[in-house]
Amino acid sequence: MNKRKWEPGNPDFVIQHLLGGNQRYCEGKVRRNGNDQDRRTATAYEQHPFAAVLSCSDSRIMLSEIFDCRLGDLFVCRVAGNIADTAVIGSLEYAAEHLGSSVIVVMGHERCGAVGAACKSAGAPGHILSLVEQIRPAVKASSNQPGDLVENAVRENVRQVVNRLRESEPILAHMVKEGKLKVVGAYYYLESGRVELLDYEAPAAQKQDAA
Amino acid sequence: MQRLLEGNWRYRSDRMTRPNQGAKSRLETATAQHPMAAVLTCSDSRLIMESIFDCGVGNLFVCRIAGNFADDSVVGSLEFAVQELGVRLLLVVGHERCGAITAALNDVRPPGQIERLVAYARPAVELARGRPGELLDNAVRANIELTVQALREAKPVLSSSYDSGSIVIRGAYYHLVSGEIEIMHF
Repeated sequence: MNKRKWEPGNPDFVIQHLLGGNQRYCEGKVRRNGNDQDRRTATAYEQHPFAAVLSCSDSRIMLSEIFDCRLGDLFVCRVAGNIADTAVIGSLEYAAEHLGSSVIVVMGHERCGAVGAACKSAGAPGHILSLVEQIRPAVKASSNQPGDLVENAVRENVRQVVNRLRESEPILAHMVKEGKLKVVGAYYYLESGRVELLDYEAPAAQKQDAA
Repeated sequence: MQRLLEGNWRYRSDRMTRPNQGAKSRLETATAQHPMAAVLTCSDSRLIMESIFDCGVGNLFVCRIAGNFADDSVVGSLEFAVQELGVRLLLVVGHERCGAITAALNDVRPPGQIERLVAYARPAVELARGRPGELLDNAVRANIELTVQALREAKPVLSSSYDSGSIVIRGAYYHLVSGEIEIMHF
């Protein structure tokens, strides 16, 4: 596995690389190589993050640890409820088009407070309301499903954000169509630390490599 | 703030202790989070907040968009941190050679929704043009100032908490090579 060619421009390779890092995190075997003065010096004048992640602001989500990544590897957008407003989409466009990230991971998580707030019928104060309103369609779509409403709505919200990004004109949709970019959804488990990809099927060749 | 600055000193000198990490911390925080601060920073891949402040799971509530602007979703997220999680310190961290601010210095109109980001950066660039020194660096600093100001004035939640003294909102500048967090005074 160590001999695999490094292919940051290949979305499926990057996804397997991230999953490998997450496996180390879950097993308590993070390497953490590449987060020191040498790495700061090496990346000071340019960044080439191979992936961009959109996740929630929740304090229990430490992305660089969860994927066991180095400084400079992950371009990160975070807002409560991992929603995609124009500023977030603009940021992700910058990562994909300008910095060369070949994967965007949209990651929701267990017991998300913002999604929880959107599941309550009560109104929210101030700008929290604008967040909650962007999550409400996912809550509505999940309301008739069996199981826990918040957990279902978290997954549905991720799927809706993924679709929004995949269809975002002119940059992201175009890159997805050309095969230069993959947008995948993910769900994070707070206790085990595991990242589960939603609706992602790895190509056979990648699976073999990872085995 | 003191704990954050101590963590940053460990980071700068490659003496990180990486507290509150691993399976035990995940279990302890799985049902509730009590972060000690909320940080708004840029999406730049060289800014890992938990490393820069040498802290762990559950310690920092983090908002990130390119250029660390205070758009509605960011303000809503920070309101959530203050109201629901009891956070008392909000820190806006801008950084050396920020790409979003650099884009705003160019006259070329950027594609897609990057343009919206650049529009956010323009007031800072205008403010910086009148100041002596390097334009990009001044614009990054002006943008931190304007973002802090916008948060302090964001009605109704943040402005009232700030005015009553129940929360502190500060700005900081991050140096990419040294790893130093420089607290700004305004």
